[in-house]
Amino acid sequence: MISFFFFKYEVIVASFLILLVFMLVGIAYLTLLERKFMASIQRRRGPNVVGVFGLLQPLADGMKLLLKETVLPSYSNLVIYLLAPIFTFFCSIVLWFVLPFSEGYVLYDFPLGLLYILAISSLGIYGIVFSGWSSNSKYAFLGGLRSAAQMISYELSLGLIILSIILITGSFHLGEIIENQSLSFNAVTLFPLWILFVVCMLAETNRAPFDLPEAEAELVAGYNVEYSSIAFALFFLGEYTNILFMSALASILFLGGYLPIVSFLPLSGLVWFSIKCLLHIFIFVWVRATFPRFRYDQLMKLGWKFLLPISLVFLLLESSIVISLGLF
Amino acid sequence: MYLFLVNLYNGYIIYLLPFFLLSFGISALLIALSYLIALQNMDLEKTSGYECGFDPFNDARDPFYIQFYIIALLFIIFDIEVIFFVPFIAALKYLTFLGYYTMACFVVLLIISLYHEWNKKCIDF
Repeated sequence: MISFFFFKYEVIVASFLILLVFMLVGIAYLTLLERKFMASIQRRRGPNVVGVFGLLQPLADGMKLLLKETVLPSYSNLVIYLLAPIFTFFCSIVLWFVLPFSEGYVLYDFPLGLLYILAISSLGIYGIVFSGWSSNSKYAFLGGLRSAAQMISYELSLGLIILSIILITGSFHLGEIIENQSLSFNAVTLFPLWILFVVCMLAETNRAPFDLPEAEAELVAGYNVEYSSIAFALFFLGEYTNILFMSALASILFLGGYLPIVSFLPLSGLVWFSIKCLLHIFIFVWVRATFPRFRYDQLMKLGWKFLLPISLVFLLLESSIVISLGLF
Repeated sequence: MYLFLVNLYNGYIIYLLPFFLLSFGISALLIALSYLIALQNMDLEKTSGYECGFDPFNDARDPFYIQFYIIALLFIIFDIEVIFFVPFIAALKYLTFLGYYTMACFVVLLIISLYHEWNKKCIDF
């Protein structure tokens, strides 16, 4: 046991720190990417004052939020109030431990990786409920309830779509799902599921056009109306971490992670993975800039009356095909 | 590199516990840092709840719509179904047509329940 910890554990700690640093920098610049890209779609420039092309904007935002006063509302339940952003951000970070970035580049090579991901995504809803309940304001409470109801409705369809992918792969291991796509990507063989997964991703991360719980006109900032400075920043970062993670997950499940798209370009697996992630991030930002918001009852109708029956029936159909043709 | 990392862990997920605690600690540290660095001036107007400029009428501990409770109940039912799908998929190779038929009966029962809720307008908002 002691010899285990003598040299090898440093390698794991170093890889964890590298993952953490790159992930945090990536999230910070994702906020900038979103603003610049949305600005381009709206025919204006995004932030370009702070650094060269606005590249120091995330740093400025972070500094500002850190130096603002932390307002603790007098009517709130303080312990849960402070636990909520910490828990949300924690759940978002912890999801990254099982993602493979290239052949063998994974922090914890979990054979049941997708089950872990489904479990922790379900935990993430607690953070919203905590924040809505503990900030003792009607706006926050209603926003938290609506957001939580939306997230749990779309989580069912998300789970069923992920199960369909697992069915044709035969394993929960993310690396094996990628290797199974070496002949053809899952987005080609299961194209409608890819579209459905993108829609569920948008709803699961409370992202436009499903962002009614945090829209400004309806409920002013929803469940985080009572939060200021770094607590708000943690919610914000948690949301963007979820966006980045979901893009990475979609690239792994549907577009074949680190596998090359065209074989004549000798780029490394990491570069291919980043390209696919960026494609999904662009889809996220593009959809935000293009579509108007769903009304809340339309949103729940989509989740329960359309997506859930379709994903359920698709899973049954797929398992019937697999069993009848003997394709294991 | 792949096999090297797998051998390092020997399959014990408990070795990830320090990383879980570290991620938790980083978030807590950020909040503590902000609280220590920024100037704090407690004011009555700042610490009361938000109500578009008025004084808050009362707090949020009132009864809420029952629709949210019904959605949570339905979520539990269908989440249990998703959980039952997981071993079905993992063992699909050994469950021949009879196994599939059994699972299909289970799912059809749940689809009938979804249809019943649809009719009774439980999932309308």
